[in-house]
Amino acid sequence: MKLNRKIMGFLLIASCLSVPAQAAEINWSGFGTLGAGIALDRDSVYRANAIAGASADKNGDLDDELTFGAFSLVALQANSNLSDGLSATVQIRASGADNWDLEVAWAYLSYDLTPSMKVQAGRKLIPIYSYTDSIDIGYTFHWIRPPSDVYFVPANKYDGVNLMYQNFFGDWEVSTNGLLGRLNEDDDLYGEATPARYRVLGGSVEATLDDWATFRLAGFAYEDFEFPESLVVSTFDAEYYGAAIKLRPGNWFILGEYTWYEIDHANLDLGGGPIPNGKPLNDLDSAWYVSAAYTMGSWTPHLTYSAKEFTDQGSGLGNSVIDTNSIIVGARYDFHPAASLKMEYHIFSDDTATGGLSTPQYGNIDDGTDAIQLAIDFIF
Amino acid sequence: MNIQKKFAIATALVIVGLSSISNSLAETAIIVHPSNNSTTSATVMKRIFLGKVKAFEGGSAATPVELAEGNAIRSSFNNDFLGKSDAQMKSYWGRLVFTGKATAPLQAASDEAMIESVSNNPNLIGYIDASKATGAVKVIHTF
Repeated sequence: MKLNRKIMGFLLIASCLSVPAQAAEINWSGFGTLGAGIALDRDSVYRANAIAGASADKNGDLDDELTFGAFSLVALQANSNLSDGLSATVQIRASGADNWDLEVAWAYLSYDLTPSMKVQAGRKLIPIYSYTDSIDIGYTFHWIRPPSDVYFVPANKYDGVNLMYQNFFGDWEVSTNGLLGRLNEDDDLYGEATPARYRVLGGSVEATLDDWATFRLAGFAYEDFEFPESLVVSTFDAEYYGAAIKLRPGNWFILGEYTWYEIDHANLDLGGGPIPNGKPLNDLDSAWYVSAAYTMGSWTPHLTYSAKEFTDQGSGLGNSVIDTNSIIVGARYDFHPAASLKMEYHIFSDDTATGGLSTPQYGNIDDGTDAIQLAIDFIF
Repeated sequence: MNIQKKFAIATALVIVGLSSISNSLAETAIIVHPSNNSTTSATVMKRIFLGKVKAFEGGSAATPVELAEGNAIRSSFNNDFLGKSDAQMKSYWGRLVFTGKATAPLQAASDEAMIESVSNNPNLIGYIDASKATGAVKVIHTF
């Protein structure tokens, strides 16, 4: 039933697109990932797919049996230039982590106000961190997926408008993106049983010097976030921030990203009545990573360290921390003009504790697990 | 696999290797419409082909056209002029196209098709094997 409704929705949008197609042609393109992974410790779980892993059915997690669905997906995009700077784009996507349900991931109109400024309206992803809006397009980065310790933010969709600006100042290319929108969706964010709603506004600024160094700052405020977790009894406001640096000296690609968020939650209830300005347990101080990749012809070996750290700020439980870190060792092999093979070894450590007791996330019986992941990414 | 077959494959590989070397030695020409009198620098041309700048120096709109995949000139243009491998170019455009930042560049199937398109539209800028250039287009840069 749900699947039928989504397909009907897509066909409706596709038929709308095909009306102007008599005047303008439709460009089809797409991308995808076929992946497999396994957590090496018995009875351990590893969150391989940061966003999908947060869904209610946990299909984005790896366990000790070989899993093929966690980060496998395929997406198809139709784009039509309707002339005079107006274009329409629809991207549909089906992923293993989402039971291969068809989903309209992007659907928007774009209009060029000037050669350096465009306004867009519709369904898009929020570019919270450097890779949040491209997190599904594995072909465009060296990892299979960006580090889960940082890219766990599942609230990455919105319906709204955004204004993009991009221009050169000497050797510096500067681009900005500001957006305003909302999400009001019953069955997507954390599965059907846990709807999520919010309003969101914010933006990003990126400056690139000679294609050699890129600096990025972004901040997004979520308002009236309705998040039906058992601990939370009312809506709350949240702010997400990220700062990234990417350097490309010679064949090296060296990058780092520091992110943090704050939650203003006036009414957290742990069972003993609402706690003023209490913070939910998943409120983080910071999450960050550093990564280095070196390209030798078709091969790109890489190494990444990532961490997220939370110290207790009013949950009332005392001695509570979320403290995880990961090492990713891997390689990308461009074996085909439009496809790459990736292999990665992950060493995940979890020192999370609640009230002084060890309470590792994702149901690990000990303090973490190692995991092996393989993937083929393609683009067309 | 017998010896003859191995030899045939090795020979084929050597021929493919040699032909790609000779192609990379061929000069590449960046072309525009004959009426285009802008004095666009190589730096700005590079930015136009990367979708970062949408006008020639002087103001008129600029739309890049690339040669279709599999064309040897395309690879040498990406590597030598834009400084990106074919895979890096695909990653670059994929990120822009699938996150709403740009639309994919136009493509021409061959040098001849490229000349045909550019000679009919003053806003286009493309590249061809320099030895294929004709009077229908204006060469503004070679390398």
